[in-house]
Amino acid sequence: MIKEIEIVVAILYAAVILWWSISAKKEADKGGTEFFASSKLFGATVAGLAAATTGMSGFGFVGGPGLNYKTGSTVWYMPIFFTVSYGLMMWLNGKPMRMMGEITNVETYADLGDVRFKSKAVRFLIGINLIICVWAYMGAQILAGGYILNSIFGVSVKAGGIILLLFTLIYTIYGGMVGSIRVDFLQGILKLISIIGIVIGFFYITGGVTNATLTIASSKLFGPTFVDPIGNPSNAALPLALSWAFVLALGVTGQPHVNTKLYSLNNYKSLKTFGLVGGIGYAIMGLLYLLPGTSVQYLVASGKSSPLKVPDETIFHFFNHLPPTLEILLFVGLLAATMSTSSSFLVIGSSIITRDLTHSFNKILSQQEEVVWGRWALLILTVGAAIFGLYGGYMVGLLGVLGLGTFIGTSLPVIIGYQWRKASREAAIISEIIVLIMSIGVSVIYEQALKGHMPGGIPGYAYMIILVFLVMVFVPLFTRGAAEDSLPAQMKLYFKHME
Amino acid sequence: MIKGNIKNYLWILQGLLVLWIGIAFWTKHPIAAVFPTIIFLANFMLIGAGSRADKMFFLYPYGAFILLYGAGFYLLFYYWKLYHGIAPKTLWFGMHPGSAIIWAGFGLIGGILITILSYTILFEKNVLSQEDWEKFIEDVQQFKAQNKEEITM
Repeated sequence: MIKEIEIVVAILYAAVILWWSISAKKEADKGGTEFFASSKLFGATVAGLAAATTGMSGFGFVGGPGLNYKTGSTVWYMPIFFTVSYGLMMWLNGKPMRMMGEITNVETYADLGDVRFKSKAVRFLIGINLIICVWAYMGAQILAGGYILNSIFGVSVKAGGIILLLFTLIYTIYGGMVGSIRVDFLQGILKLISIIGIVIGFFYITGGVTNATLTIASSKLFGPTFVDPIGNPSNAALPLALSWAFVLALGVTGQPHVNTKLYSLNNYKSLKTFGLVGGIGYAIMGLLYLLPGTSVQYLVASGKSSPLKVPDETIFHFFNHLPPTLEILLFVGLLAATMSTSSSFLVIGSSIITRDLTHSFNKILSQQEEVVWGRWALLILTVGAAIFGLYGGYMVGLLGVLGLGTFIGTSLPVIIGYQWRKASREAAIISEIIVLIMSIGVSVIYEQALKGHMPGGIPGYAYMIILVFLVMVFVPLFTRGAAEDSLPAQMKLYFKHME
Repeated sequence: MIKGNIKNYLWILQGLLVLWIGIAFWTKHPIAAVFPTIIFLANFMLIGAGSRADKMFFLYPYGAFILLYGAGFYLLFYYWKLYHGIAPKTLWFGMHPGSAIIWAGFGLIGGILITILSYTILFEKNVLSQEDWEKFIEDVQQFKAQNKEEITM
């Protein structure tokens, strides 16, 4: 009976999402500015919640509990420091992105890079680096979506991933970023409601936090290190956790699919509460990382369940131990999580192909042409992501891991450029080349030669971010392209009011 | 308060902090990276506020951020060593004290009440006032009228 109800709920959910998104078509058809950036169309609540739900992807919904089950409390650093990054995003990017939206028609990160450094090379490199991230993340989303449909409907993981991707493509083609934000808002509400179910489910299964902690800590399979966020002093958790504190606190600051929502604010005053809604929304959704994994650890530790062979199945195992009503409630949240990030990635990728790469070669499309070509680009991206996700194998896992770091590394030159008039074009170009080389080349060395162990036991992308930061701070001390007196005219106006 | 040469020095400080953090990780001294990381992250709020940062800003959110995360990490390491290899004898909110520090201290207080909420509370004073925004829009319109070819991409 539960399966039948889930199928009905899934069909109803699909119908609502399609209607909600198609109703945005009229707005999205107006031009590239609306299709790619939904410029100045939404208030802080809608855009903020969309930013929160885009930050918490389907991968987080499936992978987060799996990581918690596998590594214990160490994984808590991830959602917590990601929450901090919503605040830092506002302090660093809030005002600059809103101000630039008034000065010129910026829609993408590459637009910002081009305007700030007056460089098509910067635009091109940002576009290429971001497309790597988009494909890597989409590949991971396909797998996460596949797991979800596999668990519920019994279809294969590959078929499940493709079904969800195609559905996301349909509603994104109609609504572009306008539709994406509307759907994200709706999905954000559903996710928040499902969190209530997760909290109830956690107490239903474990009987309370104290009981869960003591049972896990005293079990032979897990033990005390699983309830301690640093774990055993001799294991690898300490450097990894501390590097997460460093990297993930920058988290959404460098994520274009979250920052693009800043363009959509209809009033500069919306900045005031955008980050608050986004940050609190994400913090609540972050409970997803903590509660299902801990519940399943408790089930295994107390002998009520056998140890899991595949940690990514933690969330489904959690569902299976809940009363039917709760299971269906959480199922809706799970469906929402799978699609919300994918649609934003599709739009970001489409804008890179249609706008960023064409502008790099001085080919400017009209606003209407951008929409038409943008929709074709969505199709190309989906096919590419499907091939990549299903047949990329080793490369998907590899780039999925490095995707977050690549996003931050690519965005850092732009973020620093808008906060520091001394940041130079030369530094930005060198930084983007470093990201391009490290995200592919070094990742292969990291995986193959070093077997995932960089010196110091921290991820390779942490070193990439460190290197990019050093270049962006110290190279401008010796170079002057598009910096200080050589700033483009628009940027002189910007800095006059920014500083 | 943070403008001109002071801003340049602040960015150079950020570069030096990152260099320190990188060396600490590379040489397997991750705990030596903790305090520089806290300062590094707090400085981004200072940079964001720029010339609008005032004395109060150094108390909240800047000082509060450094104090909370500094104390939080100190306690995190303290309880890590105290309960290493054994079930914790003291629980906070039913959790290992370290987990409670991360969740309640770093997430709830440090993340939401300090980093995020400060932007909302201090928006008019330390980010963008209505008067500044109106002046900016006026200048943009004047600029657009004078430089039509500059503003199209």
